[in-house]
Amino acid sequence: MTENTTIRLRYEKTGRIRFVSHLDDVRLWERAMRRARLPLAFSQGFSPRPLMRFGPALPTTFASSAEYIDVELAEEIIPEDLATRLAAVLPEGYGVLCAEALPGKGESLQAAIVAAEYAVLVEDVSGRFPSGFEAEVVHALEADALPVTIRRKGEEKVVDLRPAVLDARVVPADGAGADVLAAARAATTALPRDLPDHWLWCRLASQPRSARPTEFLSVLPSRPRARLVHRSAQLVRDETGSFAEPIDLSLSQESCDGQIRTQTQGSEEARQHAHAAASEAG
Amino acid sequence: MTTSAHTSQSLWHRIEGVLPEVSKPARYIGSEGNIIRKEPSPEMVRWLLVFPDTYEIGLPNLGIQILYELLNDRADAQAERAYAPWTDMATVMRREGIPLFSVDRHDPARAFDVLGFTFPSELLYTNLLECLDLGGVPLRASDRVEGDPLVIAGGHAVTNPEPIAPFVDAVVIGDGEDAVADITAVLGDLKAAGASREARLTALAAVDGVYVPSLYAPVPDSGLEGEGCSVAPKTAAAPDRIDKRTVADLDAMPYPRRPLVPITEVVHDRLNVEVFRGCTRGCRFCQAGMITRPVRERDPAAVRRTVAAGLAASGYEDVSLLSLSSADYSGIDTVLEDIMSDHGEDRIAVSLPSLRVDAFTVDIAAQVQRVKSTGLTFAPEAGTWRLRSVINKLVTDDDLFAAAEAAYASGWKRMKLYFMIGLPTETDEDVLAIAALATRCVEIGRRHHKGASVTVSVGGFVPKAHTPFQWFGQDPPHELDRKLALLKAATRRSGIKLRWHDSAASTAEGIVSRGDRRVADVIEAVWRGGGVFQEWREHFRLDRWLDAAQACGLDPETNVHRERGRDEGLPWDHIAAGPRREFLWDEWEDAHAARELEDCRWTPCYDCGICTDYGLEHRVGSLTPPAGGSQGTGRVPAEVA
Repeated sequence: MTENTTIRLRYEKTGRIRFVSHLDDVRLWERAMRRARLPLAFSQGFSPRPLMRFGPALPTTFASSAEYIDVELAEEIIPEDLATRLAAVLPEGYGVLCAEALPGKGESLQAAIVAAEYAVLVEDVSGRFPSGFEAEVVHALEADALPVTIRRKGEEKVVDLRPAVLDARVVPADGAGADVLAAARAATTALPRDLPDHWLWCRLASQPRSARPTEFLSVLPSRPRARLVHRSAQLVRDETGSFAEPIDLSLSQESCDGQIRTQTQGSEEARQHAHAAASEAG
Repeated sequence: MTTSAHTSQSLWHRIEGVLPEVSKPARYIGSEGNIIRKEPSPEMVRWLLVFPDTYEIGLPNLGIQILYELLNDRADAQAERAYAPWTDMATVMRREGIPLFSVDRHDPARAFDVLGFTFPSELLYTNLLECLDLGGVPLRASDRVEGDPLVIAGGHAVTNPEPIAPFVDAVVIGDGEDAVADITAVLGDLKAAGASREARLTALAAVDGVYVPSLYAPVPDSGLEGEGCSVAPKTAAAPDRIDKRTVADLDAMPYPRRPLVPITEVVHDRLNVEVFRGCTRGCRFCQAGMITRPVRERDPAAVRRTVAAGLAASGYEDVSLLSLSSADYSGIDTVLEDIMSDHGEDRIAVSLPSLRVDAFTVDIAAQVQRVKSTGLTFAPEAGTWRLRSVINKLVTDDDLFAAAEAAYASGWKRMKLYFMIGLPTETDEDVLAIAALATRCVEIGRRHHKGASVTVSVGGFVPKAHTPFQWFGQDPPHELDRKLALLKAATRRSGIKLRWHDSAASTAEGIVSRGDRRVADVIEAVWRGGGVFQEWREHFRLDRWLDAAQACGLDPETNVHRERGRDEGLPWDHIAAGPRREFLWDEWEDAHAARELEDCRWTPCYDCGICTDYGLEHRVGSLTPPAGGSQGTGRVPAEVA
């Protein structure tokens, strides 16, 4: 038997499709791959399933331009071909951004991804960008602990969010990354016509649990709401311990449509927090 | 209503804002694979096809999907879909003033010319009112004015349309495909001419298979104690009798071509392909078997093409071959082999949801098993041969045991058996025999697998219009509960898992299924009391129905639990949806004598009235019954000791 080929896909999920759950995403991608007539490899056993592995779940209502799937194929295929064939059959709102063949099976996305970046449209009860928001963010980053109540398996539990907040800052709407938001905005009619000048950019740990930007907002004194959350990057650690993309963007420029911009300039302080989070997990 | 700048009337921008508040928001976004977003134009007849239950239940509905494609293929029509919003969404919609909307373009219900509801079962009727109310459409047809949409109902339940007659403008009896096309043509012309609502209703009454309730009035003294039970035309424009529509050649309707592929979890989430319509096995309790006659098979080659096209367009991993009894399909072996040879390598699984035990063979078991295990369900319906002769479900104990042997030997470890309690002439021995049959199946299974099990699912029988049992006095809930208790005691420690339907729900269904026009008030009172989603346990309460019936002066003893007389008027006498009334009465008498009736596909015609009155005939590929059948083969059924 020949070796299977593993291809890593980066995809986007924008517009109304953001109300679809992660479990639904899994089923939907399996069907799309069948419609694209890809040479899927199947698991052994009584109920064979296509061999597909997803990265950390994206919460329902979040948009994203940085979701990942590793799919095993029984035949070799040019990654760009796969992207083209999928593009023709995917439901609206989903799009393949990059595809890359992995050497071997690759490390599990669930285990490898340690952090994620989010662009968040923040508003107060009157639908405006909250005044004093920036000071609240700075103040939160200076705190030693950020206790937050989360629900797990139906039970409420208090955890410290601080180690999971690797970085957070207020960014002008015309700054870096704004094009990511613009793409999400284009498909989201519920947004106010006159967008606020600023939005929240944050990098949160995905290990030992995926921290959510909405949890970060809930620890701020004025409790602002998230109008839209867009996941703009997910990060692994490279050999040197630095944050890196799970897919080699320089190799796959051909199939990337130019929408992808990443923010990888984390502060040293944030890096330390990430290490703290990782050691807490171990 | 003001129109927003970017799209015509789409409510999406308002809906999107509230979706984070509600459960399962993907129900409301549309965006399915193969969705049709046809731009409406003023001369088109716009249909909103409404399934009055949740999105998860409604999306796979084949009737809606067929009409959706068929209407959008027409130049003079445009069709979209809506489903009943779950209670949390309905609350938010009322708070925000968001009306019932289509999931295709998110247009409000009032933007459509016709709201077409389908009713597979009677308990959905309160959701008709919920949907109309959310849509801003007056509940009663008599309160609707020019500019209000026409409300049209179809589906098996409405073959007795009287319980919802005041709420609907028209009812389609029988197959929907041709009727909906005719209605579209008629309404399109009248729309262009700017005709009045009254003129449109009169024109609809002239369309074959269409019943316009407002043109009929109750006949005094047609029921018991001076009740106006039957109805008769008020005007010459309304026919005395409404004959059902029948699509004679299903191959002329090759739908669905591009099945809707949901983006969230739904029931029956697979490629559904109809292999034939109609059934002449003649089960006397079965409304579907009576009202969908005659048998019309699709050509196996056409089924093969539809499956191939459907799989390519959907990416589905499962195919379900639908009919009332799929193993009776004369092309079943060919089709199963073709599907396996075309798609076996793609790990496609085939399921046959309605299998008769007497037509289930090792060959079929092997074909269905070849790729992936699917569930296996049989419906013997009654515990003894005597009672099965009464209901004319002519499968023997040995048929069942042979099917169990074939199934367990082919690798299945579980089987599910459907039975009814509360059937005519039923005794406690008949009820207890259910446990004995299932126990024997467990024993057969355990010869093959240590953990083999049998699930027995029991429902209380509700007599339906257009069947030989339409005169039967339904068992009251306490009697159903007593019989169920017998069965529970008899299946303890046996390897049998017993499941049952709530006897209270059977009683509510009974109030509606053979009800007359007065039942509309009961339905409205239940809805006003908060009774939506009545097929959902968490929303169903029998006392709402009983209180409403009492308030409306309807006594369930008289209307549900009493046996009706031969010459009594019936509320559906003006609807010709099934065999002739005389034939049904003969069958009712034969049932009491436990006299069996063979399947007319394979034996001479006994003139039930369907083929002879409508110039139709069976379309079957073979004049011999499927292998192993005890019905129509001349084999003497084994008596139960």
